[in-house]
Parts: sequence; C-alpha cells; structure tokens
Amino acid sequence: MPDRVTFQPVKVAVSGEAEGRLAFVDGKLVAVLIKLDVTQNELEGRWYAEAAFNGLERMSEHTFEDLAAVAAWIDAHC
Amino acid sequence: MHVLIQKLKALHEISNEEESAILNALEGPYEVERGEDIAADGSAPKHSTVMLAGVACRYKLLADGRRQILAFEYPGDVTDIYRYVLKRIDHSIGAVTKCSVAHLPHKTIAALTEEFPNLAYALWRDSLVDASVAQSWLVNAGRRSALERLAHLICEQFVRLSVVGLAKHGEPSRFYITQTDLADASGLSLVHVNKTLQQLKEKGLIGRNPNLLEILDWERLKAIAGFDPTYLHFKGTHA
Repeated sequence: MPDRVTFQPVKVAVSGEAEGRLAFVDGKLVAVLIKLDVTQNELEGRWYAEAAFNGLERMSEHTFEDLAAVAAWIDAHC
Repeated sequence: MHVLIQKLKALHEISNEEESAILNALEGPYEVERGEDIAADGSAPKHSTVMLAGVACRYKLLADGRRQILAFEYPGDVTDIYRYVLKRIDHSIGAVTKCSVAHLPHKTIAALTEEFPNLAYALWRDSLVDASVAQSWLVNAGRRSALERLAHLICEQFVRLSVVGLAKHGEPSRFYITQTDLADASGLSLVHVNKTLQQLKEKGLIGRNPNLLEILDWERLKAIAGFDPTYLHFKGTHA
C-alpha cells in the first residue's frame, strides 16, 4: 500500500450506520469511504467513496475490493 | 387509437383528416435491437423517427465512454422532429429495449405542414415540450438532491407513460429503465442510485420490484420531488 495514503476507521451516517474509513493523502483528508452492505446485492463488502475531494470526484464511479485497491486508485489519481 | 395520435392529442387537438394525413406519411415499422442506435451522433438521415413500441433514449457519449442520457423516449414520441430543421443530429438516439419505430420522411413533413398548419403547430408544440423537459432535467441535475432528483425522474416517466396508456395509478407497469440508465440520466453513480432507490422504497413511495414502475404514494413522491407536471404541457387529466 502506498505510504502516503492512510486510513482512519469511522462510522458514517448513511443507510442508518455504515462502517467507513476516512482516507488521507499526506495527512490531508481526500475521501470518505463506506463498506457497502447487503442492500447493494453483489457489491456487498466492497468499498465505495461516499464523498471524495481534490480531483478524486470520479472515485464514486467505482467500487473497490479492499482498502489496498482504494489506496492504489487514490495514489494513481492524486 | 395510434400511439402517435394519442401523444399528439394529449398536447393539441388535431382533426381526423390531419390524423389520417400524418399516419399515412409514416414508413415502416422497423425493428431496432436493444443497445443499437436509432440515430447516430453526427448523422443526417432524411427522416425523423416515431416511437411505436419500446423505450429509447437520447444520449451523448464523452470521449472516454461516459454517457449522459438527455431524455427517455416512449411510444408516441417523435424522437427527433427537430432534425427536419437542423439536419445533422448532435447526439445519439439509442434503443434501451428492443424498439419498433416508424420513419417520417422529411420531404413528407414539408408537404404535410404546408397543407395542415394545425398539424405543424402540434409538432412544434411537441418539440417545444422536448426542450421544456431538457430544461427540467437541467434543474434536476443542477439543484436537486439525489433523492429529489430520482423522485422527479420517476414522476416524469410515470406521467409520460400514462399519457400513452402504458402506466396507470394503482397498477404496477413494466419498467424497462435500468439503474445504470437512471445513473446516466441523473448524473449520479450507480451505487448512489441504488442507495437512493432503497430510500424511496423504505419510505413506502415506490414498490420493491426493480422491473416494475409501481408508485405507492403519488402525492408524497410528488412532494419530495417538487414535481409540477406543468412543464410537460399535457392537456386535461394528464396535467
């Protein structure tokens, strides 16, 4: 995982309460991620950018298998 | 009643003679498979297209493949009457489902509108309503929240389908527009569309079957959307 991308666990108030992560690049917040739940059918368990900033706005067009995939995408686009 | 006449009469009164004249001018029907284009961006065919069955959409593709849907087209809609005047189309029209269409040759439109000015008025009105829908979508995408935006899109599709007898209050009807289509129409991500539709379902506003257009609480759905059908300019009971 690229060193400059770090995550911090957080609860996000979507669909009740979702397990989430704040994503940072060099200590600055760039995205709020949630783990998709069962209501997303086959996407359950994948990571999704509920909000993203600093040129990462198109992150929401994707879902990610795990946080390593999230970090790689952020590193490539930021 | 022919679906084109149903649609035109919902917008403007036309005579029996005018009805026959425009129906006699139609060529086809032609079948278009799902996913194929009815008209390609940049093309300049010498006819406009009347939807007879199925669902189509007007869309624009960006260079990297992202798609923005500009409008949905249903039976009775003339998808591109403006092409009679503008000639070259500046976006694509694609079949969302298998479609049956008729062609209205441009040379016939010239003769028809010359002989029947009232018919020209009806077609003009139809194309102005298309512009009005586009304005409404701009407001939707620019200023409404995801929940309001999807609620508004659903309200609009319901009213437009009901005008040609394809949707009715209290009766679920087949809904062919997928979540991917809704995402491309609303500018929301696919996941966001899914989550937002879940919210509308949890609020008891729409039914749970994704293949059905089922509105459970029309008044509340309209209120959330801020939906006022005036911009569709249908007459009487459809308004």
